[in-house]
Amino acid sequence: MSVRERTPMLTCFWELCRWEVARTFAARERGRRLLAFLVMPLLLFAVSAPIIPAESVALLLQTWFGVFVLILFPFAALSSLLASAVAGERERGTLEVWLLAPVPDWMLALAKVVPYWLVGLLYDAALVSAATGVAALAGQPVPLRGLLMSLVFAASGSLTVMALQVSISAWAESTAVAQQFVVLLLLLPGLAAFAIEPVTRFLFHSLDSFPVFSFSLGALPVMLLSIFIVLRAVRRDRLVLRCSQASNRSTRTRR
Amino acid sequence: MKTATCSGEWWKQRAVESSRNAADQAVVLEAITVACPGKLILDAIDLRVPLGCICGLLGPNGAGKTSLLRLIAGLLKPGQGRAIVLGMEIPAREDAVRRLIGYVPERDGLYDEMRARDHLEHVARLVMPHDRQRRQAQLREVIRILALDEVLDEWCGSLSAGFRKRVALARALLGEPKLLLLDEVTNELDPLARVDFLTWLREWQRARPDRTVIFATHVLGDALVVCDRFVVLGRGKVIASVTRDELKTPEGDERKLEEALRTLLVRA
Repeated sequence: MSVRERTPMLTCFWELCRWEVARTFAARERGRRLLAFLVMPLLLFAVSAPIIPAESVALLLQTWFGVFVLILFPFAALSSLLASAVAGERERGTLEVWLLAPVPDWMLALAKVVPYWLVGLLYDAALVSAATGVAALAGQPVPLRGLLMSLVFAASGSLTVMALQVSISAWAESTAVAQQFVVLLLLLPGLAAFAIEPVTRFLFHSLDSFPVFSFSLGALPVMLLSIFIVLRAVRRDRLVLRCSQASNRSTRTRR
Repeated sequence: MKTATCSGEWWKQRAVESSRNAADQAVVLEAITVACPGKLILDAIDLRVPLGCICGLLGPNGAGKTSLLRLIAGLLKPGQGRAIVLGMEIPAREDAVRRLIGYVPERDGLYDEMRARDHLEHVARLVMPHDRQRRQAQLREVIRILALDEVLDEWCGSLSAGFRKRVALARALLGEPKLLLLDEVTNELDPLARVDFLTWLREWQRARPDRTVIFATHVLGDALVVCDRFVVLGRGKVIASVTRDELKTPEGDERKLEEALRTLLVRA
């Protein structure tokens, strides 16, 4: 039996995730920019802690709006990467090699979402911990239960958005097209939030008294639906057929 | 000279017979059709590639060479027909087939931002995740046979076209694939690198007679140097499938080979 016939899939899945992260930060320009973008707020927290009154930081953690700003930050930073997750492979000509990984289609799709999701969540945890630390050290009240639940909410919400972003990337002809839709996807919930009065009330609601758990539970079907969409979008034959169509079009254009 | 034809569903009657002797074939395709909206990519392809040969896939641009390779690699699902690769049916066992295949795409599929070493280690981890010793041994082996020592730690974006192809080839050879699919690999190579590569391919296959190579190219000269069989494609159809011996003159003269193939290509 050839060694290629015995490949444990979970190990392959983690290798694909590792490769995705390594590749992201290895790109000299993009990696540095992204790293700077992610490190900057943490540094700002560290530097400004003695200057900014801890009451302000504590106030940031009191309402949903403040926490939203914190937890959405890394996912906004990562959205450009997700726009190129599949469309970029097609543009670079690496699509076929990526699709040859010895894992089923659904694992291939999740390997594009999970690494960025974990990076975003780790960053969220660091950012919220830093803010909590500043407020706690100054003796300000910190809504711990609310913060923990908001992280749970961030986890489900970000997975939903990221799965949809990867689906858009698989559907789009190029990274540029994907990026336009990904930005829209980020803007729409914000616009909707401010347009609908109950949502505005929710945003400025006290963090500790809002029924976060039931709200997260309500978001579960949406999350499952978005995962279903990404699993349908990232399928080998579909992606390769789109690639063939695109190359035919470019051949015609050259002629 | 065998000329592929396809009419009606005659292939279904031959299915039982073909599965009996599919064991000595690397690829068996019967009336394979692949279509995307508004276009027929592969049109009733009927093809057999025996184990242990180098098969040249010839045809003009847009003939369907790349699509056929993608189908054999399990990346495209046949709309109609029957495909057996290395004794396994596609799409039912495409995951297993992919593990036994090495594939070098036309655009080499390397990430500019990664080093050559990173690419090789990544693929080695994918195809041999739990066999560290074997992984290391194979990495050393492919690096040696493709002379990649000097470029291992360089960014792929800064490598020459020749070295990029070699890295892509090394990546495809990891895990001892039984079927090697090469898509226009000699494009962008200078004449010397081209000859080196073709010589290497010929010797590599001779040293491993159980391995099969399908080499898609639109350069007739390259195919003539290395291939034992020739499949000519045109507009998604197999125009002809012939062996080198079948193209020789009765006296065994190979000088008319190119002319014979050129005639087939004109038909494509």
